[in-house]
Amino acid sequence: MTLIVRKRTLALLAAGMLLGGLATHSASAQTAPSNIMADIVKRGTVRIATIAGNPPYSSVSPSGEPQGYDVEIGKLIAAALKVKPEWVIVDTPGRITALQTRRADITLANFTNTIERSTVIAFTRPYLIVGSSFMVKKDSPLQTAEQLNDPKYKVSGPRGGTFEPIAANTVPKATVLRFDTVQDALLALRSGQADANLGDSLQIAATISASNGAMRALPGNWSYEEIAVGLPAGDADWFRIMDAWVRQFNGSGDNARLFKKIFGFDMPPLQ
Amino acid sequence: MYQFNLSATKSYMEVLPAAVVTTLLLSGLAILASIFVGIAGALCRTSNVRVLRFIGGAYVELLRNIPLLIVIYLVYFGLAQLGLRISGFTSALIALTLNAGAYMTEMIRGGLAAIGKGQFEAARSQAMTAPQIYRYIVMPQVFRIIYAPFGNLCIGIVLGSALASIVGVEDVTSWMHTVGSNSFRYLEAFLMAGAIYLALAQTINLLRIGTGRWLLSHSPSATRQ
Amino acid sequence: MQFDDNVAHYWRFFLSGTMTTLWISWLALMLGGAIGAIIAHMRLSRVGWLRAVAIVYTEFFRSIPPLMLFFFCYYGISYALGLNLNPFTSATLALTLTASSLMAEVVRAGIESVGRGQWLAAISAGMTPLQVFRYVIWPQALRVCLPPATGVYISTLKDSSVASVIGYIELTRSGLLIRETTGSSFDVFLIIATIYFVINYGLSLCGGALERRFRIVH
Repeated sequence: MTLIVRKRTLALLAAGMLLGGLATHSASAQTAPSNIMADIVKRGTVRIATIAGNPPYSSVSPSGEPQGYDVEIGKLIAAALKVKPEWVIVDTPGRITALQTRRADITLANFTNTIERSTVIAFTRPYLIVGSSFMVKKDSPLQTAEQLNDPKYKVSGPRGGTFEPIAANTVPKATVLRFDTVQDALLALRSGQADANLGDSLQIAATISASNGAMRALPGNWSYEEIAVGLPAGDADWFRIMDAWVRQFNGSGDNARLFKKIFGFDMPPLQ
Repeated sequence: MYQFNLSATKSYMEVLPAAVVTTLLLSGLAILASIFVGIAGALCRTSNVRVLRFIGGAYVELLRNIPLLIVIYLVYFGLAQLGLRISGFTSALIALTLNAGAYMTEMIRGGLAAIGKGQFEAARSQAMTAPQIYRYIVMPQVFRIIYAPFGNLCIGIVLGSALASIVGVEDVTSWMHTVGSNSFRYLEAFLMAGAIYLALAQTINLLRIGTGRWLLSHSPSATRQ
Repeated sequence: MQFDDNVAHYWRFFLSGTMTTLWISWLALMLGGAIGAIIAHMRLSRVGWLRAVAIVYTEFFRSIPPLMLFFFCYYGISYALGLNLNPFTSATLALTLTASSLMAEVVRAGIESVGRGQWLAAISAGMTPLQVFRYVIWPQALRVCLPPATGVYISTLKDSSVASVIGYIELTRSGLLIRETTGSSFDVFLIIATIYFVINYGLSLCGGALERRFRIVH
């Protein structure tokens, strides 16, 4: 029996070494420099990371195809590049990792350009400016965000988004509930697990208008967020192409028309 | 492109102990609670009352055949929609307990089944009371049969507790997500969290082996190994 | 809003998710069975280091939560080795690793169930070790392995629900996406729970039937 115990200890040691071995290996791992555009042409598809469970930005149709504002933009980009869109479904933090690991050529997923993120990936100019607001149920006693700043209230939001720093700044005393997806956080409010939901102001506006008066927003806007196309860092040509596309998409008015069609209200100005 | 940098996770280290405690507490409570559920379930399944047998059987089959992930979602979001609001931690604890309880039921039932009816009759003829029979005859034998699968089940519970993060429980997996998504150092966070789960699982494994050795050195010669 | 919020309209998506779940779990069971069989033979080998490798392998992969394995096979491998596996390959790999550690134990029990006397008898009858495995050990071990293998399939099917975290669209992920699109949580969860239950319970009935059948043969 002693022998078996030693074997198990050995197993543990070896397992640790396996992990350690991978770790040291990664220090020397290099991703070969690539010209993303050339790869796209060769592949015939542009790989687009999106959430697919984040309406009205992205969701799925009954046949399982992606749909929504970000998805329509992706289709337009693919058409402009004369290739097909290939969808990579990710969660909130996966928007960055998909680019870091070169699983996607662009991320289109209600994706805010933050300085922190800009240190590891690139962004085009914004195609949408949003803020953050708190949403509560219609019959909630809460009237202002200040009242929410109390440990007895629970605020829900998605992990890995801009939610966490905004919550820490505006309602530092409230109890924060983190979820893997925007919709889980929203569901926490709907099901009564949370007292308020902190999220994208346009998405909240769309949710409220679809709720037939069951939800309302607390007054106030708590952030300035530039929603942009995310790109892998380090490919200046690819950035040049995508940034030009976004400039023309905004300037031509195509963007405002698409937005109105999907969200049902006018797009806020891009300044 | 990827430079391995474990020190990037340093600023998140101060919240790691709390995350480990949450994982331990959740798994520990689930193990304890599922033992009681398992005993109750096994008594139901071996009962003479038909309804109890059916309930026990239905419980085991339902919970063994539905993924834990779905059970956690149903308890947290589903019950809340019906008006019953349970915190993320408690929901995960209930879901884990229900899930593990089903396996515990089958394990304990198997252990009880291995004890021949003759032993009960012999003990009763020696004028032993029911609690005495369980204390001196049944329990020691059942324990010998089930300690090994029990250890495996405990490992399963610890690993299953990793799913609690989806309902907002701030455990080791949640810590991993937070570090990964805030510092963009995913690999480091994976490795740390993976090492913690590995250590927890292997600790249980060593305890199980230790128990086996202890039983071996304290066994009455007549007991089968 | 232009979006369809009736859960029933999504039946095709539920169906394709179910097929995906069945297929990837089956694939993982087959691959895991093959690897598990090799590991089991290593575990029973007389060579010390082969046994050690087999023990490390099984202990390692059953000590890591499936959730972590999925992350590791998807993001981890890609960060560490610069190798980009798609969600399908990553999920298959992660499921195979877990299934193989379970199957290793199943196969080992199967081989050990064949009495040592048969081995000695076959050798003394002039068979080579390979022949003994091919004609004596494996056919008998296979019967013993089949019922617990359905258990491994059920466990793999359930683990595959976790593949949703890396964006692989199987049954759970289909359900999550439908839920996120339509907002009706309880219905969707009841539907997926029912589908899993029907499949897994059906399988466990098959496993039970196999077990009874082979018990009579013995």
